[in-house]
Amino acid sequence: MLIKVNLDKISRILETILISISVTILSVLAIIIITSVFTRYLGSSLYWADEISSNLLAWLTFYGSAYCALKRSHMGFGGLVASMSLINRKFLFVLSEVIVIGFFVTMAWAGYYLLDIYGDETLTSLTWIPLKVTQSALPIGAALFVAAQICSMPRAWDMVMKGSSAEDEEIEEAIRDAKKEAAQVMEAVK
Amino acid sequence: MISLVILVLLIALVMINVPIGIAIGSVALAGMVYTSDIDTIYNAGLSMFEGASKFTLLSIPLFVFAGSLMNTGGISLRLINFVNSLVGFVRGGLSMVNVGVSMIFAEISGSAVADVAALGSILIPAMKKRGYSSSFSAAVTSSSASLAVIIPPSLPMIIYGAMADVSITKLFIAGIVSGLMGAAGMFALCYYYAVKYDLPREEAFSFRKVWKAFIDAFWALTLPFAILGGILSGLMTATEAAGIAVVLALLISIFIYKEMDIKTFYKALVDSVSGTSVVMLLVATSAVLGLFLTEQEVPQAMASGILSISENKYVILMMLNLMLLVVGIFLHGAAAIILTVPIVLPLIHQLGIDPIHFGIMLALNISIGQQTPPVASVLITACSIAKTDIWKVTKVNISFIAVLFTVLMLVTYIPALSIGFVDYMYN
Repeated sequence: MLIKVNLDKISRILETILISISVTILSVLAIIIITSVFTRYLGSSLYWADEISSNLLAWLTFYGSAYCALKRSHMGFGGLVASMSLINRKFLFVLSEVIVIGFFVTMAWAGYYLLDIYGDETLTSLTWIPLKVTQSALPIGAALFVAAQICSMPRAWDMVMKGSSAEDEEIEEAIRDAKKEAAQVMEAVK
Repeated sequence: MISLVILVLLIALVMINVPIGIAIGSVALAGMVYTSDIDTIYNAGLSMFEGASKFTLLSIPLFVFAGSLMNTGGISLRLINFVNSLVGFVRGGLSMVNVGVSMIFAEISGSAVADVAALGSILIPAMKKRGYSSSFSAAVTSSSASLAVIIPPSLPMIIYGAMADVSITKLFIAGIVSGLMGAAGMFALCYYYAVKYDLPREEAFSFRKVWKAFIDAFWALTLPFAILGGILSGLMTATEAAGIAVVLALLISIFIYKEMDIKTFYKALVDSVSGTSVVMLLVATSAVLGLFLTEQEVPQAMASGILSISENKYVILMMLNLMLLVVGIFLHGAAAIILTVPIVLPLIHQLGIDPIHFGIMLALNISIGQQTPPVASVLITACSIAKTDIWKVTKVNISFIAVLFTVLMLVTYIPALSIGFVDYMYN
């Protein structure tokens, strides 16, 4: 019980951190691309925009994926497991968690090792940015993914016990949100 | 042999609910370590980062962001009113409104579920109130949302373009004719049902009402027209058009319709982070799988295997369609593209099939896959909103799936329907 309460607390902090980082990356990425559209038409392209945007997309992928792990919103096929007996659901849940965490621990290790290989190399367009910095998103993102997966485990376990899947929850949430927004918009239009 | 084991393992992991992106990465990693040595995990890490930083994929977060802004900015409601003023006077008009708005709106935000929820939560209750059955309301909402996969801007097409190294702009152009054919088929089907079940007309047609609805929706309509116009005229790349779509969606929601506050804006940002990351993780891990498959020469083996059965281009196209339909039934759109493209692309090149033509075929197969259980989140969402049973909806939906299938057959065997318009535009 105490572990669950602490995980909930860590989970909330982690969510704030991950969403702040990801929203910032997305905002910066959008600003760079939009600015580069206008500067291109004005005849002075941002020479660094392509390289920086591509790297930011990778950052968004890894940090955003960790956020999605916390929310358990990665694309999956939960229907079959949800229809199985409780004992099978429990067993397959544990197996699936081990595989997910194992994969990202390996990727965190691989990413960390690669940082050493990059040495003093820098980006091509902005030579003051070391590749170590841009490539750090893989090991850090993978480590955060593992943390997010562990923090969201109690909630996912509850779903296993209930026999529902993340897809069911996503659909319920999307409909709830859409109905709320539709009601607000109709009110505003009136 | 090892490739077959990897494929079986991949299916097993997906079935036990390992997220698809991670299942792809895990089996590829296991295969690489098994066939080479432990040091290959560093190559896997490198491929994963490179896969996630492909320049051609940059339009994804921006289209997703623009789509999320459209979902929250009151734009959808105005588009519905405008299309209603145009076709609402026809018998069964509200179902045609559903098809028409989906063509403009759906498959952009990165979450097909969010898109269909945004439209369905307005249209399905309205249809039910006007006497349409729950199953018909859900079927038309669901299948028209899936038709949008082939209508630009479509996220699955951007992913395919990046994976197959094909111009996204050309893919968008190629999807227009088949998209319009599908929409015409669905309009006809809606009319057939309307006559059969005596479904109502909405308000009588009047130019004054059309004009009023047009004025109200004018700014909302500038969005799809700016995206399409910019791309078709060659003025903008897909990424630039996505950037402009974000600017327009923001300006329209904040300054013109004044329906976006900080809270809804922040929600759109958070939704976009989720929508983008879920798709991009698939893309990143698929780069690892691509590396493994190339090392094992699987695409070449697959090509020669299929060619040993038949060398007839049309027979092979049918076999590919069958394979894609099966994959589409069990996998979400993005995952289906990511898994099949690296394997079948060499065969496509070898047979001299235009990869743009194949891209439209692939997109149509995905549309059908979204409508067929067990993995049919778009259909399930529409059923949940309509509060009806998935199998009852499927009985009605079969005729809409038949429309999609007919378009698929036409596009498969008349390549001019997809690449003809591209050639016309570029010549």
